[in-house]
Amino acid sequence: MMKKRIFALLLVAAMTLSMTACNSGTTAKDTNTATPETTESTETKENTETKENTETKENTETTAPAETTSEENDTFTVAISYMPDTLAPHSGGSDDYTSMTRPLYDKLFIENTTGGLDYYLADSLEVSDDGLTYTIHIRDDANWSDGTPITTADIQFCADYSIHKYGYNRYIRVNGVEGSMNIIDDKTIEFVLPEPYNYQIITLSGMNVYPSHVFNGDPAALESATEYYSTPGFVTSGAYVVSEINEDSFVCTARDDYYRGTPQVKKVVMKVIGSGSTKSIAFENGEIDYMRITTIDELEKYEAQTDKYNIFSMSEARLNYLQVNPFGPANLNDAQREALFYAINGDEVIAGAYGSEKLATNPNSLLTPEMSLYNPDTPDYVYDLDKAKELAKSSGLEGMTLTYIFNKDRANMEAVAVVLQQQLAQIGVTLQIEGMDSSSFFPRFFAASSYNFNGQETTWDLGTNGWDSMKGSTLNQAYSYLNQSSNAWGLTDTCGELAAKINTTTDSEETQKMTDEVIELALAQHRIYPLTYTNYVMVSQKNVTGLDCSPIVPEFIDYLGISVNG
Amino acid sequence: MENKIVFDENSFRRLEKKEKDLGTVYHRSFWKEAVKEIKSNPMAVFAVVFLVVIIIAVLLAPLSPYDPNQLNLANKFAEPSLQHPFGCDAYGRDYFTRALYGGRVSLLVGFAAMLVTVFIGTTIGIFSGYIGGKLDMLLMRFTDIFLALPSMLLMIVLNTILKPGMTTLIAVLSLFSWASVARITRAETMSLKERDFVIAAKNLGANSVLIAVKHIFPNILGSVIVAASLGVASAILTESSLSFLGLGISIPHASWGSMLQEAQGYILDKPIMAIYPGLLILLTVLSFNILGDVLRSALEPKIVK
Amino acid sequence: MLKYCLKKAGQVAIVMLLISFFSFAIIDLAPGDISSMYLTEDMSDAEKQIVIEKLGLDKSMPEQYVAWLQEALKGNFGVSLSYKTPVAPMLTKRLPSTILLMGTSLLVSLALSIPLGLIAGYKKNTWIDNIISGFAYFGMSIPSFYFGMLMIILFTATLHWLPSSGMHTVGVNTPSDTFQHMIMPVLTMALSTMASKTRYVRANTIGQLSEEYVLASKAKGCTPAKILRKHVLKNTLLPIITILGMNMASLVCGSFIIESVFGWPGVGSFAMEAIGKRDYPIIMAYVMLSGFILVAGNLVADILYSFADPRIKRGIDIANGK
Repeated sequence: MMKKRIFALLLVAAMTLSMTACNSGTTAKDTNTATPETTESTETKENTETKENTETKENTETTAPAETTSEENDTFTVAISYMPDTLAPHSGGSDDYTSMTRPLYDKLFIENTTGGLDYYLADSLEVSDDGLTYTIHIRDDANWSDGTPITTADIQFCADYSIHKYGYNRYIRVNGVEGSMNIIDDKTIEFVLPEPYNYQIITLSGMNVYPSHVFNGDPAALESATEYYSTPGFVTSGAYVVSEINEDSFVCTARDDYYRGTPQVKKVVMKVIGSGSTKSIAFENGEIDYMRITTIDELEKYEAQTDKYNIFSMSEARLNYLQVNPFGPANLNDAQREALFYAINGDEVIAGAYGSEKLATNPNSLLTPEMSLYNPDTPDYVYDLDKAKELAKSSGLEGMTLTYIFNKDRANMEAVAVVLQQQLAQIGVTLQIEGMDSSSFFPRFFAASSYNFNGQETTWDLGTNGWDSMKGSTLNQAYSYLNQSSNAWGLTDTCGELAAKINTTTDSEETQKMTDEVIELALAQHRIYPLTYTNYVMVSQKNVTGLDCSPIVPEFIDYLGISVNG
Repeated sequence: MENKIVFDENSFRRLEKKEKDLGTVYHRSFWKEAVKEIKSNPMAVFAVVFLVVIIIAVLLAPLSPYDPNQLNLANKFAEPSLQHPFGCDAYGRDYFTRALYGGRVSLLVGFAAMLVTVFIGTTIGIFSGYIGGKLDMLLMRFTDIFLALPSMLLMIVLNTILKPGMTTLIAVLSLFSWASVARITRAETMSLKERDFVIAAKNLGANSVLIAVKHIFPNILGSVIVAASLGVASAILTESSLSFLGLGISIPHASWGSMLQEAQGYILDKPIMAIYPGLLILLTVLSFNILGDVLRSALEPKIVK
Repeated sequence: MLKYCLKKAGQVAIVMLLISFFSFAIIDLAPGDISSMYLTEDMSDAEKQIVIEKLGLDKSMPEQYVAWLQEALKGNFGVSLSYKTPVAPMLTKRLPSTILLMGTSLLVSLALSIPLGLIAGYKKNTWIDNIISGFAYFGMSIPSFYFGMLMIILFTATLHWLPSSGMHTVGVNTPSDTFQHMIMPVLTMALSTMASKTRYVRANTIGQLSEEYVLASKAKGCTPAKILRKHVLKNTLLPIITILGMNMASLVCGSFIIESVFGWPGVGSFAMEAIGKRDYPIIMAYVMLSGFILVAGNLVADILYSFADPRIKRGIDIANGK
């Protein structure tokens, strides 16, 4: 007991020392240069953040020597659903994993939800007028946690890894043709595409940057670096390094040489918390600092206790939709699909499955309001039960049994299924519902588009899915949906042609016009029903602030804005 | 000369079987005993009454004025009242009606799985234990494999792979539970067959089937009944675990287990939603256990007061 | 006797072989094309072909099975689909925490159920018996996940006595901390297994007490405690041995749900997660592992059983021609 206390004291002392040391000159400059090219809205956010920064830091300084401030006050504890075996940047894929490794790895930049870019490792992205050349400049002070500067050699290493893994450099490949990648200097790199491709911005913002110097530029060594990435102390590009890995948790400790400044949260603890309601119990017990909430009941409960909890809400930039499978066993015709869509009451879906507009809103388009191409005037499907009944009878839809699949891992999707089942029962349609987890859902749902018609495309008629990260200046996920060469979703070829055109047009007015056209065209075919735009709502302990400082899901892209001294 | 032994023809007469004497030991009415035993035990009376009430209630479920699956968002989480004795769930569905329909599923799965389990288990157990030798070895290896399989894991895996539904549940449940019944009955059979009364019967020339049915089965009936009572209980329990993991019957239908799974999302704030199905599972399983135990003491020849 | 043990060990090998076949068959039963899990959207057809050949998926099922078994015997269970790392070390890394949980629950349930069962059986139909039996009934009638949930609500959410999940508090590595984390999962796990054991011990005690040897020792003037300890206990241990062998199953598999409920970082919750992700190499390895634990448990139970019950030993000796 005594030993532990002394150790804790020492730690606190060391931390305060290092904090004061880096506070003295660097923070002010850092936060100023943090996002030089960010859009207006985020700039204002940064400013308020800076204010918070200095305030809270003073707090810790004054209280820390008083010995009562244990390390707990600087610790942010996050519940994770499983313990990853390795924390390598490239072994992820799931939202959970992305969220777990957010403190460790920075991207070059990321599209924010207001139509602009937030810069991290890079400080500028320039696109040439012909839309062919993308020039990225890496921040001069961007460095790895071992002090080595992050340079274009590391980007080259990413390209090498792509070639090692896929056989081509995915960062310059468009429609099967490769362009070229030119290193200008240590910090500047150019991606030249064979043809204009607006989607490129998403490709680049998704790039994981790997430390070339650690693996001596050998992509094979990176691929087999499990051991390296499961031992504390491996090199990271984010604000934290891993200092401890246990059976059911790992601890990230703040770097003091992080290029964007020193985080206020000194320690991020990622801890496995059991299934189901265990999480909310752990939260209310103070074992974790925040959690996501998905039902109105939880929301109202925590909203009522403002003295104990903070609520953060941000748009998830997600569109959940209902898909009619063109290869489904029922093989629904135009009139039958129309009847189906008339019978769906979008507002009741929100009320029944989410309970409040605070958690989800009724969409009108295939694009989300977070996308710059979104048009609020796109006409929505209308709910008309009488028309639906009439059409169902005349088209022979009445009395049919349809198989409906959904992904159980996604919040509220089971509730949506329950509501839809009852709505469609009113026009005499029986839904046979199968809920399954992601790993069995995706091969079935995307059987035709991504899994080469693996035989499972004929096992379902209706299904719900969601597109996430629907932000930025492109058609985003709607692009690959509309432009599906295998006709996986039953849309006409015109949709695909238009979508492809949008992706290569650099004129913004033209792009908007074509976008409106293609969205209306797609909706008119009654293949896809936009169900919800969802919000990502979190509740935290009262002392936690800044969880929404950079409203991007999966959380939290910017740990610098989070404080636990609230 | 009073002690003189007199040999008359009676002295050489064959001894007749005395019906009366044998009757006092073995000739008992099982059902009379069972009723007597139940009446003497208040717990057992409770168990029987509870089961009868539950079974009747569950059978009469369609008489409820509510559709168990019809949404009525105005009634979301309605408090228990005269109209809704258990209140309403997150979708405003009458919770009492859902509990009744859920009970149908839970009980049906429990009974069906138990019957299949006990039938297969007992047959294989006695057969294997009595005959012994190579056949026993083969059958027991077969049983061992089933015992050695991590059944819960495979039930989960099979349930995720197969099309969800009641038949799948019953099949999967009994597939992985008969082995333990077989093991117990076999062990008892093996022990019994070394007993004097079996050896005596064998020496008297009774054939194997007769011995198995007449001498061994009655003596392991207690264990079989315990196994059957455990069978219903564990089938209902396992079903609830599978449903809890989301592998049970598909929505909108429910079993008590899947109602619990739904309720656990609200357990901190609406614990009552978890109390009803939880209590129903607990009491039903409890009643089957008590009933099995009481029947056992009524039927087992060894425990004669 | 040695011959008997060797024979049993041989049988274990055969059972393990069959289990291995079972666990391999799981993959074959799985819907969809396994190769689709290894392929990514942006691979060309030639690349896909290379992956399929590398996985051996172009070969027939028996060929695949033999290849897999050969590797499995060497301790190589392949590479996890989701983690992209070898499966065997991941399992062995998590095994100790599961064994800790299982072992403790086993000891706790044994230490409680044998004396409770004996007392209940001896004091048949008294209030003591009613309480113990009622407790046992409760234990075997409540779903373990439900009991776990109730415990968490009581001890964590309401009383704030115990941590809700995990094995350690981060940054604390003392036995007492682990002990605190263990209390709820161990009790939950022990409750369900001890209930059946208590019942069996009780039922057997009642049976044994009506045997003539008990009457004889009573007549001899033995105290009830001595009768229970010296005579009845020995005979009631008999079914306990079989049940223990079978309990291995509920321990190994029960650890599943309980580990998931309490977030215990063992093989159970790991396998549960693998099922969710359809990570077949992990599922197969886990089936093999738990199968092995169970078969080994049954083997020990069989051998102990034959030592404990001379009647069976005699049967074996006769079968062996002695």
